[in-house]
Amino acid sequence: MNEIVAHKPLLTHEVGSLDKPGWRVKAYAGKPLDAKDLEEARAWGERLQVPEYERLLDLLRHAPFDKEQKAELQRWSSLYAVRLEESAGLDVVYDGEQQRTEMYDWAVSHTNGFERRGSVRAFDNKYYTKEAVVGPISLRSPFHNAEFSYLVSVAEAELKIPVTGAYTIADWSFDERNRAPENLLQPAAERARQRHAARRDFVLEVARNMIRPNLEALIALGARWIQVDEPGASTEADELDLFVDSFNASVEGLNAMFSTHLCFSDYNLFFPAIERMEHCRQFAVGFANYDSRELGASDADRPGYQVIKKFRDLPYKPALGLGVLDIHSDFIESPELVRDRVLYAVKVFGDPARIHVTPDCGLRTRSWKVAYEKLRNMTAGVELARRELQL
Amino acid sequence: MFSRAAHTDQDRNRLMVGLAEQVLRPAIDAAVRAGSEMIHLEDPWLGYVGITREDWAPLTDALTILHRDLKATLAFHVYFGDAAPHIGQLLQLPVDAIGVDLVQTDVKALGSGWNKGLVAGVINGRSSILESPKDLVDVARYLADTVRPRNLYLSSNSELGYLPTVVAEQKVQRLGDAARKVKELVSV
Repeated sequence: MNEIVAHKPLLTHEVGSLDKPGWRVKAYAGKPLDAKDLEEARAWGERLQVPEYERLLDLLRHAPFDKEQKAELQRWSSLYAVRLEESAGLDVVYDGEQQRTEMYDWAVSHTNGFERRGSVRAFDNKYYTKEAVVGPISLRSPFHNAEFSYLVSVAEAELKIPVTGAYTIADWSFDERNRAPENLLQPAAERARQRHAARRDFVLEVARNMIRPNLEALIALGARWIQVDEPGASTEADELDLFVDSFNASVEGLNAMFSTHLCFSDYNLFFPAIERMEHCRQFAVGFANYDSRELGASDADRPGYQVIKKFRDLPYKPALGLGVLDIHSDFIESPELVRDRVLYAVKVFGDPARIHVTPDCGLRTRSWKVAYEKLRNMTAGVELARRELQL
Repeated sequence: MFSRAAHTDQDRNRLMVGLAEQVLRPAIDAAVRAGSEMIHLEDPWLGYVGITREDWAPLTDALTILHRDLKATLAFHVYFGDAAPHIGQLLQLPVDAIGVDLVQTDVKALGSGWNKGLVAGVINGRSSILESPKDLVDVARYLADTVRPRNLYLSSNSELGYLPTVVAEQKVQRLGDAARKVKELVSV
């Protein structure tokens, strides 16, 4: 039975990634650091009151770095990110993927059965290194354990661990398990049927042999809240059932609270498929990107949030991680704007306990300065809403 | 495609015709002046989302603007979806060739005796698995013998930006090899 962790109404948390500091990126890549990098480490260390941050400065002055020193720098980066989120007032924190390369590469590079194929476009001018699955999928070793163990040792607030979901891993990979190309003279309907069957097999193999063992390892270490990230979930409208099946296969019967993160889509597409996703106790969904920046808590004032009524009506009554920060813009949402988005959602749901407050998505697209200001205003806006709701 | 994907509250059909007149036609004329002999219009929207009956007339108007007095071959390529339900209307469009995604579309749905060219999308731009040269030749021969388009162009089913460059290069190489083989067979 999946655990339901009791939380206070209007719980605040991040969604996943944060930008990596320049000193962390350069040091890890073996590039020279300059005075600006050291000043960045000093200024944020001081601002966030990171204990003994002078030790980091001392380490950064002693390049080049060996493997253990690079790992130590990653842990410093984790500590800084956790402190940033705690300092911003979030109730639940994470380190913004400071110890991971990124959400796809980190996962597949720790898994058997994948081979690197090369760079492909993700969107705009953003590229990622796409891999192909060429054989049986299995976990080489649990790939978030070291990260989680470290975070447990330093976090003062509650932790939530994001894990890239099975559907997204499969959708962002090539499937070369069966290398035979399609014969286009065969009937298209039969070829489509074979493609769909292979796809289902692939996605569920990722869920069972890659994601689930990783979740089990995290739970054994004490993880209580695991967020399954699925930015690819709505890529194929006719595969939403498969996305749901993969989530269920990943988490069913495991003893933790599971949530999922969906972003930048027509969320209407997810219904009714996610009505079968009863093991998901929270959906963290981005809405601010579609919303007006004007104040107000009426339907007309909040065009980006109209679809939340569908999440409200899900039969298993999950919480909604309400995205209130646009992560594609340096615009700093005012506390009053956050308040009104929250008040609107509470009015729609009729239950503040089912509303959690989050950015739309990971904040790695923004500088730490902008991310920090956004998060601080988010928690300030939630306080305003709490006051108004007398919580 | 642009008129459907655009973020607008305006009439999308008027936008489509306006885009054809004010953006695409000048761009096409410039490309032709620079030596382009074939203009390949990519339209994944029609394949993926579909089209309503009343939108065919304004699409025809837009393509008429692009095709009028054009000194190059104009192709309209539908991909990321099954073109079979649209073949009849596609063949009425004022263009020189119709492009079809044959990963999604049954070759038998193409019919026969085309009055236009066929851009045959025979290379899968979403899969890293390399096509068999023999299969490519077999498909091309089937299309030449059965569909009998005015001209047959062998192509990928979609753009190749979803493939790593090294994979795309190998696929294009195979496409070229298949085209050479088909030409040899046809000339015998």
